[in-house]
Amino acid sequence: MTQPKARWLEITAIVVVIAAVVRGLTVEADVTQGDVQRIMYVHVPAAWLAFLAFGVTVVGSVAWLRTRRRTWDRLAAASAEIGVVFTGLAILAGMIWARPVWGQFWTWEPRLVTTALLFFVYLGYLALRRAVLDPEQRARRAAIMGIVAFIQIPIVYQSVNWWRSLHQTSSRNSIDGPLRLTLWLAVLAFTFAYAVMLSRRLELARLEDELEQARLAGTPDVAGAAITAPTLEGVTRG
Amino acid sequence: MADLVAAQVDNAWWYVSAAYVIILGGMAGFVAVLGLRIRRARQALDDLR
Repeated sequence: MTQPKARWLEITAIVVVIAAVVRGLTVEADVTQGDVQRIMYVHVPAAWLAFLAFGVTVVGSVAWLRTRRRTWDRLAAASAEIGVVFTGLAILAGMIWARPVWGQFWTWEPRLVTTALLFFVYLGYLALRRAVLDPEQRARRAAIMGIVAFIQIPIVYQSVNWWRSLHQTSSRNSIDGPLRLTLWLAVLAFTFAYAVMLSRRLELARLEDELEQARLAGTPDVAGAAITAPTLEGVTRG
Repeated sequence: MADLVAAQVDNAWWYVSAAYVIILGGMAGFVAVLGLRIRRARQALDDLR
């Protein structure tokens, strides 16, 4: 059952997301790009959320290595999954924006390539978590990968400045007035949505942990059972 | 140059709609799948107990 606090968070997130979407679709159009620029109000917050989610993953990873508390490992895993989803969504929205602006859905330009790499590396992180069965080993390896993978974030962020290409530089500097306000509202809305997703994903992670422990506790000790001498109840009774 | 080309896009709203549907649909879909996974995990725990 959902806690009242979580329920309020969900309602707030829905209201703010709806407000941001309405605002994004009705605010005045950009002078140079026209209406198609409205894609920015979902594309940029999705990319921001991916960065935030991977940032939380690195915090959880470092905290697990220091404390060895399962809660931190669950936080890292939950946030990484959300980060992968939002990286994928940001790439898709970016491709749709690129078609009318650049004339093609995809081009091998630095921001796109580094973001695609980010997506696949964190997919690898999730695959690693599924591949290792021992919880301690899994948490250790994932924590190390979670920290190493985070090195990509500043590279992706700075790629538009280091290797000037098709992708525009930071949107926050290229717009002002009501457009900038709309972008900040959308970022706030997506952050609320992230909080809801993280809270749900953490609940799932806790349940999966309980399930794993219950299954381990219920599994018979195969080697021990094999060497246990058979009882002679039937024989002695006879 | 690319920005000037984009200003002449006639079907801009088609692209805008597609992007919004993908992002919002993706978010809603992810939350729905999480809800389903939580329900399944609870069910599996109940079965074990």
